[in-house]
Amino acid sequence: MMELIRSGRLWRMCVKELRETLRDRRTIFTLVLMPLLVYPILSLALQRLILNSVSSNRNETVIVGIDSESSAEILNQVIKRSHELVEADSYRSFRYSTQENSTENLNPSATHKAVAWKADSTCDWKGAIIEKPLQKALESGEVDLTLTITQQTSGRQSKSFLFSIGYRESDSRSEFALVELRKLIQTINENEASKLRLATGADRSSPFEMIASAVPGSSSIGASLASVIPLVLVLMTITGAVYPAIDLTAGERERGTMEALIATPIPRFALLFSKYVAVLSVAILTAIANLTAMYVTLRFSGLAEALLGNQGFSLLSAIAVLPLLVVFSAFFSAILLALCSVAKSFKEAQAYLIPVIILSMGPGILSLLPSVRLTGAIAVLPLINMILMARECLTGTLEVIPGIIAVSTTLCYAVIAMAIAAQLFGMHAVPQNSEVSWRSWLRSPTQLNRLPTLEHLVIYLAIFFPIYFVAIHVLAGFRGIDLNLRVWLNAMATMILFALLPTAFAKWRKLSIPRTFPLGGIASWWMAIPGLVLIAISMWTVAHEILVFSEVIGLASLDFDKLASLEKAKAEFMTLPLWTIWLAMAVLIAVAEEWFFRGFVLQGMLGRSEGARGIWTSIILSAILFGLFHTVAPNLLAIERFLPTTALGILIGWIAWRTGSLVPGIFVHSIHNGLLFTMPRYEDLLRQWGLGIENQKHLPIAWIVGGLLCFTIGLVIVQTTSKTPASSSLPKPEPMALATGDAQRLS
Amino acid sequence: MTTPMIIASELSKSFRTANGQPNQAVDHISFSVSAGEVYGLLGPNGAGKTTTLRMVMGLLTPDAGFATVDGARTDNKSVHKNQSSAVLSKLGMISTNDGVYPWLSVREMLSYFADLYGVPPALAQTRMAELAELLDIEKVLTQRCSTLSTGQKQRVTFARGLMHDPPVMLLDEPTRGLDVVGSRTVFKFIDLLRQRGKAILLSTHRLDEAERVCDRFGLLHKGTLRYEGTLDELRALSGQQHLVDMFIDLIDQRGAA
Repeated sequence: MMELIRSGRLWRMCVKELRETLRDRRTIFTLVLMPLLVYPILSLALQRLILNSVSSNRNETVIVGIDSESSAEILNQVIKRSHELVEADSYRSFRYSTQENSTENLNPSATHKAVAWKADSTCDWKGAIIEKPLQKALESGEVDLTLTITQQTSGRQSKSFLFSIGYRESDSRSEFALVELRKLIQTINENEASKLRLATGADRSSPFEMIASAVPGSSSIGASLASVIPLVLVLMTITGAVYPAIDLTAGERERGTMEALIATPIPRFALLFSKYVAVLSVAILTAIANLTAMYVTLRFSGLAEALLGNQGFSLLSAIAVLPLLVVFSAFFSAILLALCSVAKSFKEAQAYLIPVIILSMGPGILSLLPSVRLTGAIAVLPLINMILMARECLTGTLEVIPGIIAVSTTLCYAVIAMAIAAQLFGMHAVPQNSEVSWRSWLRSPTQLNRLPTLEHLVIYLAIFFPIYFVAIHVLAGFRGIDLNLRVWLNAMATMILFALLPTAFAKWRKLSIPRTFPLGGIASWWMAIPGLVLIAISMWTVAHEILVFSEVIGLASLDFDKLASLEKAKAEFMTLPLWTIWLAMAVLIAVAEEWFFRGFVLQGMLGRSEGARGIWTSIILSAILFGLFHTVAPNLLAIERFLPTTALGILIGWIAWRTGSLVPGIFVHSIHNGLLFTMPRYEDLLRQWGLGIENQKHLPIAWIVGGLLCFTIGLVIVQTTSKTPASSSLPKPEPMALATGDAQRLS
Repeated sequence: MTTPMIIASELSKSFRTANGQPNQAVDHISFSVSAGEVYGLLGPNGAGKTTTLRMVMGLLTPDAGFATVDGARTDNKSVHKNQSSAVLSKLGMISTNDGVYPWLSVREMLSYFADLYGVPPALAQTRMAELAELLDIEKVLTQRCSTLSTGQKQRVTFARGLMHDPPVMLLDEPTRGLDVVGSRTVFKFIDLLRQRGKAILLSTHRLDEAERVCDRFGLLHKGTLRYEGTLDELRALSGQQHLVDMFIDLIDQRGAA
């Protein structure tokens, strides 16, 4: 693959696929013609919808909830007077009536009297004198506005009225009513002011003042329509990608070029990748075309404000949506390729795709509900997460963490889909070959792969990360339950996710279990035990200093001047029995994490690396992954955990490599965890020793020196006593290059 | 005697039919082809010719037996990953079912395949010029493939299979759908390839043409190799003068049995 990239062949392959697609008239049709047709039509339809809802306000009656009859009479006068002023030339009288309980539009259970005014211009007003709290009536939608009028005396004989108006935010009907009422009041105010100026030359405050306060709108047409934009964009992007995806896979077969293609010595994945690039490019081009068309349409039809509120559809937010569409395209192109790779013909491919497209409409429509928001669990759901993210991006309510989750899980799904596509692509190149099917992807491989490959790792992570994510959110949801139970649940979940699942995956892919998760070989490392003990008991000092250091360089998001961020819940944790802490929070967690990070991840990487540089690259990369996983916490990124955990990962990775076993690492990791969680318990004792951990940033210098000394001696012991690499699972090192540098590098 | 470029050893393959019954498409077939030799794999439709070629090619994994090309096995790709790609570069396959890319020009398509085989672009250009002259497709090089006639398409396919100058050619019914003149051009070209020392495995049902161009024959029927040898050997074996008659005998025998 590297050779293909270096020689430019892969690039030329991608160009060929893209050229083939873009010359095809049908691609151009979806790319250019569709957006040109769809958006004007769509905007007409939307305009109709919104105009209906707005113009119906003009014809229908605006209902104002009023606190008292006297206020109603003042409002009546205001309406009457302002209409007189506006239509001074053609004065028409109001039809004004006071009716008892004749408000068919109102909730019959509410006890109120109704007053109705009928004006010939703008809109009709209906007042409802409501005895229950006005705000409730407003929130429930019984009334469009609420009005309380208080009289103020200012100056000698002049009176002024304060209109306190309540309206529903982002509810077009209520906001319209507010605007109309404001117009009425302003008309009178301006008139009074000018009269006064004429008479006395004085400029005086207005007779009517107005305060408007909003309650959140419950069912606003705008908010739900805001999802229409991303939904349409996403669906159009899908449409754009569908044709090239079919054409470059099933079409290749139908044209009879697939067999010749498969017969070439090029790796199938490279072929698939070039096709992926082409489909992705067309999808992105479609996205850009649609985004542009939509932007122009919304901008010039004036629909943007109606859909997205006051800020409208800025060019900036349009540009911000594009990367989301790219991420989505990356995901959906891979799905399409995986599906089309099985199809033998165009028709078959279409038959597979239609249900998928219909299925993807489901979550799309779900996202139209304004109450559905991009939060933890929903952020993991494919398609809907991108639509919601785009909507929140447009309405300016996007939160960072769910956004990161949505993007990263979507990319994970793309990787899974590509992995599946790579297995399926070219399988039916030879017709009547009945040996392959969808099932063949799920089937265990026939030959024995000894160690996990990079491909295994990527596929596993792609499957695992969304599960992990949901799991920590579910666990975070258990806040209410007993702490003891929660700790055990957490331990069990960690064991399942980091130990059981990787083992099951390894079994399924026929990996060698003893080599992927090496446990034996105590004979080769028992001499290192004193060193391991020294490292285990002194490592917290090093970890603490790294934590302090990461705060110094700004890698911190929490208040963390405590050794373990669990300090907050310290009192609570004190109630846990010590053995629970050591077993559930130290040993089990250590076993699980070592099993995955130093077993599955590191062993696979080590198996493929040569020389000192390769080994260190493996150790460091696996440690970074280890560190990254620890930064993922429910609803926040615990960045400050990154450096200490990565350092711990490097250290234990090195130990695992030196000893060829996971056991020493598990031992060190358990002791380290255990100490961190036990220390707060003996705070008083520690303080006597000069260790007020939570009070000072740096440890006392004596402790740092002692800890480092202990730690270094431990490293040297491990370095000198372990016979690298005793176990067959480890590659031959270059002993001289490593033997000198290790201790210094780590200490 | 030179070592054979292609060896098929006890190749077998069965497919499951629509109702789940196994169908023995190829049943323990063995033969070999040397450099500079044209081996005709002859047989009626459904005899197993294409399946045999695909197993030689490594596109199908045989149920039993194996095939080698220039000493390297072509089956079981994943085990011998690198070896397999080396084997594939030595093979050129041309089949009637082969299509062209309608939206690419002939030149683009040929360059693409040369690239897939790792032929350096400069070499690919000279080779393309040479092949275009030999196959008389110089004039259509810049045309879109969708505008080509059937005969032109077939010749472009030939050029495609030869862009990497493989020592071994597998030709699956290269004349199907071509008129007499077209077929003749193809067989002339096969003769030329033989002169250039390529080992050619040809499957066809154009028995008359095969008689002229092939050095040795394998007569396939219902997945088994009935007769094998040179034309003279076949005549002696079957007692018939022409391949056509041998065939009719063969089919009749089976029908009677």
